[in-house]
Amino acid sequence: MAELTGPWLSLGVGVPLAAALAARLPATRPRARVIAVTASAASLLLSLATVRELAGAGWAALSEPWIPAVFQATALNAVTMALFAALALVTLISAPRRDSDPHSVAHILILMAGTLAAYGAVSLPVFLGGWILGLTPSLASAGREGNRLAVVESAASTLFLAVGMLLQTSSPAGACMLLVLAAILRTGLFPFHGVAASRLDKGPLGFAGLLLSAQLGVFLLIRFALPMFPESARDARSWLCWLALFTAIYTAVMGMVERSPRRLLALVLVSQSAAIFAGLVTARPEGVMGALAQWIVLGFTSTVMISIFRAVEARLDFPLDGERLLGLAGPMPRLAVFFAVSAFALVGLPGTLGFPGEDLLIHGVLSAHPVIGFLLPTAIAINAYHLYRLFSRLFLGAPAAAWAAVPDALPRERWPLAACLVVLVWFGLMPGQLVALRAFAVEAVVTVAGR
Amino acid sequence: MSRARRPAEETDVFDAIPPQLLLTLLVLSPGCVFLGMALLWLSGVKLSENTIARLANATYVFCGALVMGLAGSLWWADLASVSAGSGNWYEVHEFQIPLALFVDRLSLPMLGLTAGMTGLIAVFSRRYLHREAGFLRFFLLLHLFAFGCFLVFAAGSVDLLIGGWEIICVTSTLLVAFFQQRPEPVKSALRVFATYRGCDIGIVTGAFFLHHWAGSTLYQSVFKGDWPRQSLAGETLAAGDATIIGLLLLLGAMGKSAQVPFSGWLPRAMEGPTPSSAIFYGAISVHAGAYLLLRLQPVLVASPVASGAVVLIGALSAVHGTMVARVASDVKTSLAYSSVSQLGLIFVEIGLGFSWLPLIHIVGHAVVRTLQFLKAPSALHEFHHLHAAAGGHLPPTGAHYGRLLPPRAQLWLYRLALDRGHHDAIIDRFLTGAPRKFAQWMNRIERQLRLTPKIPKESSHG
Repeated sequence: MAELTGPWLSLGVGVPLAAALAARLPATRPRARVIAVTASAASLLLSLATVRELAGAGWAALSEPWIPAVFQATALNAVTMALFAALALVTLISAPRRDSDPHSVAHILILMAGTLAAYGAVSLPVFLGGWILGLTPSLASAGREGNRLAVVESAASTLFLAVGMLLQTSSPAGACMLLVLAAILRTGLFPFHGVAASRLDKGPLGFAGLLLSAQLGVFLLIRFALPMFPESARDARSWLCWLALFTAIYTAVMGMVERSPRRLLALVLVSQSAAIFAGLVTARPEGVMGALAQWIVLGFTSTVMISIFRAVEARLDFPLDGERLLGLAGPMPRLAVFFAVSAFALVGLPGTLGFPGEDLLIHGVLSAHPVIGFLLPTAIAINAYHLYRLFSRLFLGAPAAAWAAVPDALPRERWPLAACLVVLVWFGLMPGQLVALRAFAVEAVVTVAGR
Repeated sequence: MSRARRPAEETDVFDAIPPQLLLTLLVLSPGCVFLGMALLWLSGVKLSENTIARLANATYVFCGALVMGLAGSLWWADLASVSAGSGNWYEVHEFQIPLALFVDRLSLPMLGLTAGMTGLIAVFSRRYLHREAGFLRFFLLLHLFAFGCFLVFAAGSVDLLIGGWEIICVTSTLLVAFFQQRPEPVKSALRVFATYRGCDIGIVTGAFFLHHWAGSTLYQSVFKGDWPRQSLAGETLAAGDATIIGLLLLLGAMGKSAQVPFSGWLPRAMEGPTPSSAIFYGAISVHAGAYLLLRLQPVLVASPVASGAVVLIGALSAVHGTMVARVASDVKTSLAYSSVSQLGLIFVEIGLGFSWLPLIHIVGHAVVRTLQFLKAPSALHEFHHLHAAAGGHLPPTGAHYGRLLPPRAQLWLYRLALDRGHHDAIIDRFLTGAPRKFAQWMNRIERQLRLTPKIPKESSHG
């Protein structure tokens, strides 16, 4: 197998891990932020270097020069790693000052290192290592906040993954079932959809958003569960698609009675994640391409919306709750525009990547399941309603007099968030470029899932 | 596509500027102006009201000239249609979305109507919204709306039409909530958005099935012949397939054109500024649904069930609209329901297989209704003027039809019209109420099973 010119993947994992340790040492917020931003920027550059080399090699898998048995760059994981590194960078730059304490910053860096390690893993044990590393800060904070659901989900999914790994030779069907269960738990498919809501409701928003954007459950399915156990996976594909579609519509409907903006956003994000899951397990080229495009859309839009949530909460100094219209479009017009564009992009705004993404996803799912697939456009329509409701609550209405002097997007928020939207618009106007970029990943998924 | 009107060796302005370029420029112009103004605003540049208004005037004069140029090109070369395409926008495996623009005798009047009416509204709004806090926002949304409309009317495929369709949905919603400091416009915008997106499920799935069964959504692949003598190309669709596609597209058209039972959003949409009411709900946006059906009329013709459904929905909407308009207590609601009524008649004409008649009806209705909406703020004054001129005896039009009914029926119909046919209540109770009840019930179960976190007591801040 051909090799990368340098250990970019190991460095991409190692740099944020080392930075997490370094961020804890000085114990001052500005220094911790500088260290974290530098490390995540370095990790992003390393990921982009990997993508470049992989594209140059015709998207054939490349191993690392000195430690080939740990990480490997493939068409499936290289772009995903760059995407996650970019999301972590945006989250760290745009974080309000109070969220940039060494402790929180270290958690995000550890999550980043763990997730990148899992993406780049050449084997299931390495993937398990990355999975555990990424969940460690989540377990720590969930335990501290008394978030029992998150603790149970993290422990159970890890257990399923570990036992599945041990059973892979003795009982392939059982192992496949356990890996699929771990993927379902991590993605938050029904009946585990409440976990993401609890994370976003109780935990630190930036961290919870990144954990959701990582889509490690989906990645586990397409990278290991489906290729390792093709026989069992083929039988499971249909019901997995139904379960994902049911989750998409169920969480969308549950949002109709949700009053808390944080939990409502979580339900919408879980619903859209379920749609991605459904698209991937169809094993149809357009469904898989739509899912991979929506993965990118979900990552960028959720990061933008969550960053704005954090900015608003920090400025107003209270957690967002209730049905009241806050009327923040007056004092914060740019943040309002960023929020509106990303919210609409998530549900298919033309001119953004969301439009071709949704289009391909709907075509793929309806082609595979013409009757039950009807649930997908319905769920997306309901999610669109929820997102507009969220936008109304935050930015429309009459603002309180005390909020007249609340600042609009600060430079550290304006530029990274604008960059996210530029990416979405760029690929939205020229989706052919993304299609070309992800064609080999689609082929890989369709080959392994459609066997 | 036949002989040209001038000798082959003669060259003129229409040869120098190909119609494909005119069509592309027409669609892109308002989009580029929107993008430019939005970027200037984002980077902190403040544009004066005069600059914004002059830019808008120049844009729509330019667009009007492009439409006339297009019309001239078609006439001069004796062409029935022109298409401009640049291959596939994106393609995955066998699934292709072509980037194709298309103009023919159906879309050209709609493009002209859009350019003319949007320009008129831009001129009117300059004074109407003078010193309004959202002056720039209004014009930004107007340009985006025009871009969406041009895309709908110039799209060469249903997929591209959906792009413009969704842009109209977003701009319409944001303009309904224009006066965002009051809670009512915000609530109304939510209702409008929910209706639009709910009905858009029809057009999205309809486009999928068209793709699935006909192999393409490109008009030139699915249909043969020139409008209005178009028919399905070959054996592209069976009657059953055409019925499913026709009914799904009808659902999409019903939402956009406010046909029963989805007409309740239209009076709510009047919360927006008068010029936006005129352009959206008098002139262009409400007619997009009728245009969709007219554009895909060969599919309806192939299915008697779908055609019958279009006629039925149209007839019901016409009766419903006229009844409610007569009892409405404010002029904009009355105008809104009059639009519903006229659109119902247009649907009937389309369902019966007419082509030119609904097109002429659309253009005529759009122009008259825009005038009425723009004059709505001074309607009471004009009514008093007319009343006095008529010697204080101005009978309500159509009252004699009402008197033909038995008194009990009159009373019953009056109540029905006053509550707008109970449509909103029925939708709230059965269409959205049932899932809401289900969600409440499941929420309780989930909390008992501890699958979801306990909801803390509501806090009030600020």
